[in-house]
Amino acid sequence: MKKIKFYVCLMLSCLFSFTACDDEFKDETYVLYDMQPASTYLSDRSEDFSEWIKIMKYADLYNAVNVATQYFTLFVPNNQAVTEFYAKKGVSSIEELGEEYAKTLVRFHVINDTINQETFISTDGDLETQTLSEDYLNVSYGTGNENAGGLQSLYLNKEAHVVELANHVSNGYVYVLENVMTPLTESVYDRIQEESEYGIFKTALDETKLGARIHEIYENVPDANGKVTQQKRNYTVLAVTDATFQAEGIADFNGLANRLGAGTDYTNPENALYKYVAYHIISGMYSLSRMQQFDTEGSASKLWNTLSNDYLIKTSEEGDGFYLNYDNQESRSQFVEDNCDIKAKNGYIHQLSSCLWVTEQKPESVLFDLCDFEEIANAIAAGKADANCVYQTVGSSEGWLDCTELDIYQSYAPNPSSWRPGTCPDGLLNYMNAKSSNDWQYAQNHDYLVFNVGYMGWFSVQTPTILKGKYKVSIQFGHAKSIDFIAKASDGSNGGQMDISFDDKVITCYPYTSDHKTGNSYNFSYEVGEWEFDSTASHTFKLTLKDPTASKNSNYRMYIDYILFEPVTEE
Amino acid sequence: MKKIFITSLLIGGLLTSGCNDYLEILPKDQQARDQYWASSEDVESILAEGYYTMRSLPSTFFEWGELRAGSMTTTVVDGQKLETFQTLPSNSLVKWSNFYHIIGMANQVLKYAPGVMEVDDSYKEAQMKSHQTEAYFLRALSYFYLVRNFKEVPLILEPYDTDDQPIYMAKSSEADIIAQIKEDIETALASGAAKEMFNSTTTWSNPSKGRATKWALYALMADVCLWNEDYDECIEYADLLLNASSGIRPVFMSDPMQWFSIYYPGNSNESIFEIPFDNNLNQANGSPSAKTIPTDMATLPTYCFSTTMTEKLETEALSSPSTVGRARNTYHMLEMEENYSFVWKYAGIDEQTQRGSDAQDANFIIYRMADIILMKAEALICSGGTANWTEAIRLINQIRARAGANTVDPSIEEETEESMLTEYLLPEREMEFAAEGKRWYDLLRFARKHNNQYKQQFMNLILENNVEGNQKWLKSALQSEDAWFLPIAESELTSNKLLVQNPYYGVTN
Repeated sequence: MKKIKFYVCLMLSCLFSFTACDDEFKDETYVLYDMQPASTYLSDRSEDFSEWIKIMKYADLYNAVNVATQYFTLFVPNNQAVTEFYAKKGVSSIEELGEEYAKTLVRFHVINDTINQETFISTDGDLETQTLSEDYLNVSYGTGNENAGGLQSLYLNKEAHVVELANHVSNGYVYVLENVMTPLTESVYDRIQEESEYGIFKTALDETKLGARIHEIYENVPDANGKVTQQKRNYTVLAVTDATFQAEGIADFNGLANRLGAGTDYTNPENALYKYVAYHIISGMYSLSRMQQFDTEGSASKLWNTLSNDYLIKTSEEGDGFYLNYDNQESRSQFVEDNCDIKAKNGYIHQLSSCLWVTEQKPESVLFDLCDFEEIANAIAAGKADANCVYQTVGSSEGWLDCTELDIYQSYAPNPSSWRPGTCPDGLLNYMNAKSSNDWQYAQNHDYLVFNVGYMGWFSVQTPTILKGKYKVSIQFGHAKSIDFIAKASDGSNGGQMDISFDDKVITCYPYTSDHKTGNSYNFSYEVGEWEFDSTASHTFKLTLKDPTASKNSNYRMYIDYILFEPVTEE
Repeated sequence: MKKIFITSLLIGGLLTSGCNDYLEILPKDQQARDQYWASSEDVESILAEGYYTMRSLPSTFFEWGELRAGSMTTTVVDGQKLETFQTLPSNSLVKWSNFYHIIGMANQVLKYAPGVMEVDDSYKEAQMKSHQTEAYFLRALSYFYLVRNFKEVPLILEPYDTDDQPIYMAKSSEADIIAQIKEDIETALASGAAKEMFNSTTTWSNPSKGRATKWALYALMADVCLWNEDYDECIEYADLLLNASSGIRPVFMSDPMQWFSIYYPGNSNESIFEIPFDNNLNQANGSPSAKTIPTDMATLPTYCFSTTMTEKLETEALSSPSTVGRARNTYHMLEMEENYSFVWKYAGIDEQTQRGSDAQDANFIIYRMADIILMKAEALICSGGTANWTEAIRLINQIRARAGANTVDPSIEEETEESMLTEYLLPEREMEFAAEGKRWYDLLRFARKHNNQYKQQFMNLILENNVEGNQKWLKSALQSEDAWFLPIAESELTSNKLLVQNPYYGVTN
């Protein structure tokens, strides 16, 4: 039997040996994974990027963007771009610019997030995520008459031509640039100073000391405990050229002061020159496209607060274009688009077509988004929020930031409920950006202020400047299924009683009960009533919870989106 | 020992024997041509496959022919990208495979139909040539859509039979493709085999409108000539239709009361070539009705009129002295805050009544006589001369009278070619062929006339109408003349190494 098995095995072995497979691809090799991390990808294209690789290595950031555990978008200048950059700087190598500069340069060209080409080309203005250097890159495209617009004329910061979009690497994307982007280190004041065409305006900034204010990029802000934190201050400057002043018969700074009837006390906020210059400065960083947007769908105008507190600028879309202060012939102006979006570390400069004289506005609808503060954007950018939190952006998950310590809000929470956002164990007053799977994503700027201040707890915030007059005031809230008991006034809730006040005038109301609806996440508007404001000013909005269950029910919290002020015209 | 021998024989036998069939089965890349092309039914079935594939195209006709012009809008995300000129090679709507599938079917008929006569005695030359005229039409029509959307595409004129044939094909120039289209149509017509009509069958009640007739070949040729700025030739072929005397010719239906019958029940006397749909044959899915009728009045259907187009339709309706005909019955307002309307042409059975759920099967019209009249008017305008322009206005007024709209009476001496086109011809085509997949090609043809003479005017028209896109971006993108054409799909670039992307999209990945 053993012999039989032996012979059978022998025969089979012989047969198999005669019928060996002939692998026609045996001498060829195959790449199982064809994607590499960012730096490796660049090294594989060293004929294009060897100069930038040198800079990355010198800055000690070559390996940092090659890690597989994080995702990056790299904007990489090609060799020709680096050579031209050195020539412009008058150096022949990165070493001559120093290690710190190299770090700043590379960080300015890297975003710690993935930006695909669909997102990139649909961006008009700033990309939503900051660079590693905490700057926003601005996307623009050519509008000239050349036969090379659209995808062929994409620019970053109006400086670097994008010649390859979103090469996919295993840990993100690599965009290729034809020019190096100059890192933003200068303030808006510096940028104005270096442009000779703004001589009169620059002198006015100096004389009013507002120049020093917009030159300060970071301000040291002490908190309640005396701990000092650095707060970035951003500004949008609406600049007027000397030529524009001259067209109005103003030859120099004195001419401007005389025209305004300003005395000599230029640093006094009541001085006409101070008011004029402050009127040209908006707190916050607004690109041109942002300035050309309106608060609500169907709206075609918007009021902007300026540093000249009582005076606002109105932007509007008219039949023949976009205007500032269109209603006042003397003050009416437009953006000189080719000379707008001049970026600085702390803001933007947009050039105007005329002097934009200070003027009073008629009341307009004002939408006050309770989360539209650069302090929130800065805190998120500084990593103080959870990993899902992206400012004013719909995410795949909700993102949270504890705002209790931010100086934009005052709050008092003597006895909050036990509810907290999962990722903010101490959060009683929270910023939340919405996720794409429910209707909260349709909130203004896709975010809410979510508060759990408990019974008799409160929070307050300053409104933007509201022009004197009577307004219908309504508040947009968000509802969650787990707080149906408030809307139904059940489980001990009195229906979410709250006091709402602007300055000293208080009303008691039940917004959640008045909505009469329950169910999954949605937004609803509650009309507070008519409110008369006796002066043009910012007002203190305060909300005090007077529902005892606010301290007991473990789901108790509320969502507030915005307050809408609509002028009431008396018959 | 004997057992060992027997066992060895058995194992050896099993290992060395093979199935006879295995040796006879052809490799998967080779068709059994000699076995397939055996009868006239085989030729008919391949042609039918070409026509069948056309039924999947109406959505593409909306996407490629309307969205970029701002005349229609869509809820399809990739369609919105197309509409706003943010199309990338990864966009699912830039795939051209359906057109090449039709071309492939046509190529097979052209090559193998003659051989069928040798094996099927009942298959006569006249029938074979008739089939070939249909194949020429389907191929020419497919290439005409491709060349207008991609400008340059691979010109494939042979069926793909085996892997021995080259699998990579480079693009041909626009001029070569147009020349081939014209050659195909001329060959088809020269054969004398193109039919004026087809007999009805149990499954196709009016094939004369859904299959390629002599009239369809004339219409396609007039359209191709207009695109190629061969205006005399365009007029010549338009006249072959307009002056035809055959008793079964398509005719312009001048009575406004008959206007709606073009769309319901369809296959009207005015029709030259349309893609048929019949709910009773489970064909309604691809019908324009299926994609344009809203589920309720507060919800946008997949494709509907844009807000600017709706305003234009409203303006014409309000200024129209008639309640019948085109002006008031092309659209129906949706009950939404924004000014959107849906396409009543495909939703109604008359001016008042909406199609039931079992009748949402409107045909998609490729050519009808009104189109021929306005093609001729455009060719006359571009040919210049007072007499030509006067005749062009007469033709335009012929359409307007049927539409129930006020006629126009310009002072010809004061007009220019640009004003004749932008004030009379193009607006007329816009209203007459609303949602018939033509507006983008009309504007593109206008832009490219006389070496892009009207580029700026074309851009202004797009900017006025396309309100869904970012105006700054549109203004920038439209500067690039290559951006007027679609990118080649990334899947095509991957599978065909000789394809070169449209340079406008060269920066994308």
